[in-house]
Amino acid sequence: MDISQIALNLFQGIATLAQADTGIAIGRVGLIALGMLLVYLGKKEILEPLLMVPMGLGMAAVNAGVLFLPGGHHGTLFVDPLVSDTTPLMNVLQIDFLQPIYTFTFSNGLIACLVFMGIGVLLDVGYVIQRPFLSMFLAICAELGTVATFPIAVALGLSMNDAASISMVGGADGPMVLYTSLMLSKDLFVPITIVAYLYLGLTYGGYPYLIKLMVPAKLRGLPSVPPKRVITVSSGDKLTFAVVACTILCLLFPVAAPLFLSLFIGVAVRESGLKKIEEFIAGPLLYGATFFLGLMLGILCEAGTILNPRILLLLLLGILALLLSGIGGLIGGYIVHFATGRKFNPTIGIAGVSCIPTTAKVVQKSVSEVNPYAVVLPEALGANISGVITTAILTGLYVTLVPLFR
Amino acid sequence: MKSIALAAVIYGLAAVVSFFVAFLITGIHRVIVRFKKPETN
Repeated sequence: MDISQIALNLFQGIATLAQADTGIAIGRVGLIALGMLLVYLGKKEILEPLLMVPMGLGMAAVNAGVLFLPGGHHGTLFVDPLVSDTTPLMNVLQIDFLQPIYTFTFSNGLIACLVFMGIGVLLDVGYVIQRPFLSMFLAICAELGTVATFPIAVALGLSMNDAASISMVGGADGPMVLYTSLMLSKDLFVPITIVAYLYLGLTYGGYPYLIKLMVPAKLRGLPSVPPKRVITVSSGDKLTFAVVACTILCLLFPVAAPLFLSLFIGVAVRESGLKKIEEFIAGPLLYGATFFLGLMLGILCEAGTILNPRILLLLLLGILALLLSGIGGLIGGYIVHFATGRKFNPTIGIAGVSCIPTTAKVVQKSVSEVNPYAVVLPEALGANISGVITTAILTGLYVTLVPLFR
Repeated sequence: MKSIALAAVIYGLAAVVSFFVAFLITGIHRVIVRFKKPETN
């Protein structure tokens, strides 16, 4: 064995890069650079650091750490997302160090449910109870992208299942996209989920421009309209709502029952005064699940998996879905604005996009830039929380109905 | 065409279920208020 052979066996990451197809090699280098960029953007808080730091580092590591596997194939010791048969899976579980987390929490949707439980604990449904119809109306308008992208994706050649999964990006709710794509498009769930989580950062960075484009400064500065009568909402009211809504939604859409239970159990724990469990779910469970979700998403960004020819189409459809949902939310805001005699601030409509609490904060920030004394956060949070509920309803509808029409 | 019709049906059903949830919220609150015992000194 000459010295070059020894060097190639010693530095297998570089050797596999040199031996790979040009496309894969460029993809690997590009994804390493993208991973580093995501860590930087997370550190600078331009993108969500909780997700982007582990995701970026995972992405860089998985594309760097490629080695020669038995049989001369290239692979990693992180995870094999495509193995599904029992015997090879048992082998991989003993070799790839993140395979147990992938198999037992990620590929069965458990991690999405854990994140959703954490979101439930953080939700104060009192904002929805104050103005239920207004909040739900804005939220359903802000689902425009979730629905309108579906026929566009089918027209562009995606199957109905894949089209439904990518359309869910319009709901701007990562766990829901993960859950829908796991249920409907197992082959594409990795790129779809990555597209979804990459784009969620855009709601923070891009929506303020959409608001400025569609809502003139005069209307953006409108103060909040006080409700006709202030309703006192007790924790008992909120708990009753959580129990009844959860049961009825599970009854209507059993396929999405794990998501509904996860969300409302969080709300129930919060409103029952179970402080220790609330602290556990909102702390270690939510942060642990988010950390491993980010890490797994990064690890799944291996050049061989991510360089799917359909990824460009998914990127375009994902951004279209989010854009249409933002426009839909603002149209909903305008409808309420005119229906209330031009008193309602139409900016609040975009908070119906359920990226909680980001879009509500974006609304308040955009309003405060024009009128520092206007506080619209309660209405925005109401629409935002309703957005989570409507996105869960749409998940249930897509997962139940689309397989019937294949 | 089939996908447009399906999207329209899904949007319609989502709207109906969402407003049903809103109706539920109002209803639950009214029932609770009606049966709540008045506070006594």
